[in-house]
Amino acid sequence: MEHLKVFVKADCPKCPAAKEVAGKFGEVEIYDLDDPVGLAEAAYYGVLCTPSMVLVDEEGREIRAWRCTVPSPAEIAAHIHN
Amino acid sequence: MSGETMRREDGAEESERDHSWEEDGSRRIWVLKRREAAEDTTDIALLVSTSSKEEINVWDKEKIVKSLILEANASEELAREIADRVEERIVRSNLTTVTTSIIRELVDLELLERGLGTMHQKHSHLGLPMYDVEQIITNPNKENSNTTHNPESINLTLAEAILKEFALRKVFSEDVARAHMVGDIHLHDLGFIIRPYSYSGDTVVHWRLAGSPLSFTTTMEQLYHLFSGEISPEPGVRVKYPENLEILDRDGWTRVRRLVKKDRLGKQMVFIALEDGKSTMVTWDHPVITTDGIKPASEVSVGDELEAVNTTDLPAIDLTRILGVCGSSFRLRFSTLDLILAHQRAEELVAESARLRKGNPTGLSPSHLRPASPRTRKVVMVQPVEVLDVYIYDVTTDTGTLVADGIYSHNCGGHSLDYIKKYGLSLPNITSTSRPARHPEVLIGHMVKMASTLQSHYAGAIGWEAVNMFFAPYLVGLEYQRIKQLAQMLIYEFNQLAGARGSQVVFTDFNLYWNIPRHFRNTPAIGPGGEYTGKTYGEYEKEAQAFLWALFEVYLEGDAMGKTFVFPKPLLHINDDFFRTPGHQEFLDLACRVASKQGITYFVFDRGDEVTVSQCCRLKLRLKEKDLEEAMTPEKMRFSALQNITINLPRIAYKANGSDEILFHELEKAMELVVKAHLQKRDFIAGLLKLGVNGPLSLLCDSKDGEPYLRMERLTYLVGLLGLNEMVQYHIGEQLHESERALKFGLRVVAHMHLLCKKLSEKYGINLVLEESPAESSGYRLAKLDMKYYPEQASKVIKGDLASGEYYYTNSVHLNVEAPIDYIERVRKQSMFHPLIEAGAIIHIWLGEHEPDPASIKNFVIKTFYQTQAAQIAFSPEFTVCNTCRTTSRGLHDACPRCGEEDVYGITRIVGYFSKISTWNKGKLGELKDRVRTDLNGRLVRGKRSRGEGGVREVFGA
Repeated sequence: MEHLKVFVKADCPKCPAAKEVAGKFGEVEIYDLDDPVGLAEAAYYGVLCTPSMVLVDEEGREIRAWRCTVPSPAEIAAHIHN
Repeated sequence: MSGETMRREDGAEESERDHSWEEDGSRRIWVLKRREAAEDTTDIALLVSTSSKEEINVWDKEKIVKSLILEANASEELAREIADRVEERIVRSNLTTVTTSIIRELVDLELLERGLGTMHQKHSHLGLPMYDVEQIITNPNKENSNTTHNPESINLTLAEAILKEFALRKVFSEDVARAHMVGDIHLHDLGFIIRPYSYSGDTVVHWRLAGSPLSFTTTMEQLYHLFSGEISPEPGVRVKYPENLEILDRDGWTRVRRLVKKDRLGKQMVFIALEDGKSTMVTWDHPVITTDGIKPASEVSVGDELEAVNTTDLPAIDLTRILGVCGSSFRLRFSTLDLILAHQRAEELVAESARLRKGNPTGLSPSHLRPASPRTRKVVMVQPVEVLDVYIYDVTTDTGTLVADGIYSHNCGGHSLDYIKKYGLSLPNITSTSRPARHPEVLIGHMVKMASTLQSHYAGAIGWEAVNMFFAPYLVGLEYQRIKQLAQMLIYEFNQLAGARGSQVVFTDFNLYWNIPRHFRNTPAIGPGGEYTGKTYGEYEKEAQAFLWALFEVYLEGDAMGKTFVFPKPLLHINDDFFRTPGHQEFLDLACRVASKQGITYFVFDRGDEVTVSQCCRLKLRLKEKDLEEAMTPEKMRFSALQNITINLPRIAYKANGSDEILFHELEKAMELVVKAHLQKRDFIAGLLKLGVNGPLSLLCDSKDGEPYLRMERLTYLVGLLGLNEMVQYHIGEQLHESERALKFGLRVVAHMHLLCKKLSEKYGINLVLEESPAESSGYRLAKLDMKYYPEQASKVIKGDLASGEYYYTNSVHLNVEAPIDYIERVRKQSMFHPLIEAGAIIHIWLGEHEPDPASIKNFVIKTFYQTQAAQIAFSPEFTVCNTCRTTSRGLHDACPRCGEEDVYGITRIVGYFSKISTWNKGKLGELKDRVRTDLNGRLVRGKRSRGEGGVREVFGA
């Protein structure tokens, strides 16, 4: 099943909005870029700025990514099939 | 040999060596002396002192006493006690002749027996065993494959051996030195430990806030204190960046980039007076503009002519006296206010100044604010002066010049061609000075000589920024054939001048751009004669492109044998603008043809706003905002890293033994140690720089633009990574390419290190960044040390052939070179690490004997730019060069495929540059055999060894 990975930083003004949008789609993984695990995950998905969101499949493969931007719930919904 | 003799105890003369026993039964002891520690190196080199020869002296115990007091700060009592003991031992030993090194060993033994470790360290002797010296003379040193075996390289190796020992004992603390010795970390270029790698406050200047009709006259000290926002990038240096400040230059107003206040540290000041009564006081090394060229103040003599600018009629408001009256209270009030308040306060002061100055200060129009044209004035007095000032001040401007005390002056290292274009060539180690070049050939000459001198001061590569662009103003109106001839000259000159340390060619990088980089587009261009041409570099795109095209045509042709050039490494910058610039398709075709045929093209990717200047194997220093500001005065752009210290990652995994907690804890400990070592080297280099023009780094203190060539506050401190693949393999049982889990764990380690760099940078006020260590020799050295100290663990993950000793750790964060994955997968995975490695990273694609279709390379380069975060890629073919028929063939062969002769040698990239395989160290030879080659058509070719082609070994090890 697809799920969203959200990349944030403590001092990022748009990050709370990103978390809120992502929260509408069930289970969400939040990664903090100031934390090694979060930064490693960001590097893995080519995320270099916050907020970013990556929609992945069960295997963790990227389906769609919104880097450095907050997508509208409709945009996200268009890529979620399950 | 000197016949000087002295008699033990009784002092009677004796000149025959064989009369060892006296009639009274006493014995005469001869001391055979080899003096390394002479008082005057010059005398020794000139053989005017006997110190360079061996000499024989009769035993004199006092010499031990003196040396202990002088070298080890021993008390006289202790020194005498030790001298007595040593004498006793020598007498007991029945020797008639002892060498000074034996005496020193005996003294050291006494110190150690008394637990005086520190004293022992100070007193100890640096030298090499006879056997080692013989080995160095007869066998080539393979630590660096750019060096051949020759008398100069022998000198270099001998010197390096002593300097390495000196560095480990004197520069670094015991824990840092120990960590290097046992292989926890690797301190790069230890043999190059001595390489890194101003105005007086009363000087009067004229300034205004940008666009303001009011201008002011103050001293530099007053000006400095008018602004707020002081930062201290390093001890002893304070800098302010005023936003809207302009200062008077010869031709009008120029923007001030920064104001600097430095500890004078006893620097000699020089007082210069002109015939019209103007005078100034500057540091001895400050560049002074004379009609005869630019020279340090210490070299200005009476009769020289300086450009004087008449500023007495300038309608500026002289605040010097007001500030002199209000003094400290003024400063106190203003140093806490921001720029606007300073401006308002200054306006209030205008009224007061009216009483002190004749004329009406208000109602000035900007058009009046130009000084009268400069006239030359003879110097009537130059004198070193003693001053009490604790600080010196400097102003850095857009034009690089300003009017100070009414005299047209200069304010003061990648390295920028604009520096030599503007200032000509004047170096402390050469015997004549050149004016700025008027012809392109001369400029090439200046560049090669500057690079050669710089190489003797830096341990690493010499990178040049935007070479084709900076050359462009010299190429206006030239036919393409002539431009190509110049390109050929430039490349050959750099490849053939073996004038760097150890008689090797200078390790040079050229940063090249098809499109004029944005940050240079509006930069005033410097042209022939060091004059501003009145145009910006953006207007020279056509010439810059023609030169770039010519350079790549020369690279494509190769040398007289068709062999690829090794230097200058062409680093072609690809960014978004590249793809918007007309002609980029055709040029990229050419660059990819060069990559396919000769392999020498390096594709450097600058995404978004990122701008980089590359140097060394993959040192990619990101330009910071301040650096981009400097793009307006490119002669100032020079970047340097102080030192690279690599962490042995596999060892941390051995210590952790499967525990994440211990692994990350050990990593943190290692990073702290790296910082400690960096700070120790920084202090050592700062100490050498303090010796100024009389010290060994006079070139780096030399300032033509108001700042020393080496700017300590702008240095980068590198943390190298080595063997991430083996670390992950040992810790979680899979290599980086074997699973996504392993890859993610590797990313976590590097992310952890990246964040630690940020934290430690803040804590210690330095710019600490990660680098993929080129690891030409450290990949072998650290693997070898781990086989010694952790054989059970290391043998499970080490790469290469343990039996033949050709083993190694995988470079930096690279995937195993023999991983059975295609190049697309390799680039996709390795590039994930690149954003975390700020000082640069590269991905190598080993082509072997294949010569892929340039269109495949082009396609791949474009995809890599848009679809990955890769910072840099290079394609590496292999070649066999035949000495008999003087041709170059593709692939590595035992005999020439054309003429069949066996007098051949192989060439390919060792790390970031091409070199002869016969000069490679064992570890790299092992790696070469394992490398998986690709033809870019999805076909992989395993390393030669696994295909059972034994004959290749002879080509490798010739």
